[in-house]
Amino acid sequence: MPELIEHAFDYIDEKELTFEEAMQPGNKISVEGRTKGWTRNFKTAIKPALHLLGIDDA
Amino acid sequence: MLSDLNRRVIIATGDARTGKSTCLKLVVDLLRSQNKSPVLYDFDKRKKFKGYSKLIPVCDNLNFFKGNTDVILDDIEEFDEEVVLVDMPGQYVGEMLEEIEDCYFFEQLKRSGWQVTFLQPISHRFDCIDYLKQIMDYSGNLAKYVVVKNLYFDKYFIKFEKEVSQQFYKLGGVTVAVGKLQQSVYQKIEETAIPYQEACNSPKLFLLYRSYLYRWMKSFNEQLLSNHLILEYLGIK
Repeated sequence: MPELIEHAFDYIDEKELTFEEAMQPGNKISVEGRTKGWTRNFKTAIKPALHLLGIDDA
Repeated sequence: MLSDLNRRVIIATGDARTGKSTCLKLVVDLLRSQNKSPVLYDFDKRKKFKGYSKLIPVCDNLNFFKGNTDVILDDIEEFDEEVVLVDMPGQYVGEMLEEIEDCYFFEQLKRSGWQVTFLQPISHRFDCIDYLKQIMDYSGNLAKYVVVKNLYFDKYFIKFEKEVSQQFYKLGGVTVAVGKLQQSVYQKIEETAIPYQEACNSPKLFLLYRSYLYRWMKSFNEQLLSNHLILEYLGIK
């Protein structure tokens, strides 16, 4: 799993946001950006294991 | 209207000791002469903007490797200013591009009405051309490019002309030259830590030094002010 920068993680925790919510406008602009980047990297990293999780690689 | 504004984040890039801080100082003086007040973020640890902190907000003590680029993104939404200058640490172009990628830098800035200009001084060393190429390969037309040929190091920039100029001009890049200022004059000005514009009138410098400095600045400024693309890329127009 890629690393999500600490301040973004703290912000998401504190506001009790889902990652999807953290990517929406209205949050700190850096948190939005970092979460988008982290999600993209995570999706790439997990791709080889998608079938093990029962997820179609669409 | 936000979209009517030309709000620029100007990032000085390239290897160490090519003149990034010097170029930024010249740009600060020019912007101020055009009634623009920029904000400066200094990721270099050498505190080269001490003299400028009385003129413009200078945010230093930033650590590039601890995600402090986020400070810029978070501050920028609150700014009334139209120009942000960033002095990047030399040599870390790969890391800088990773950081840009990781925080969705271009996209997040664009959403807030900001555009990016890379300002890269080049010297006789080949590294700086490799850095420029990496930046252009990654950023493409998401950013604008200004190359400053630093005549202190060389008169000819063959590697630039041969290897990257085609791509550079295709992306709308513009070159300017910064002249050779005698080392003794440059050193003295750096020692006094007086902003260049102020140093032109400062009794702390010999009259002859001030005269050299004035002509050096004038030559640089005239190139910038006579080029409408540069004015746009530097947030002046």
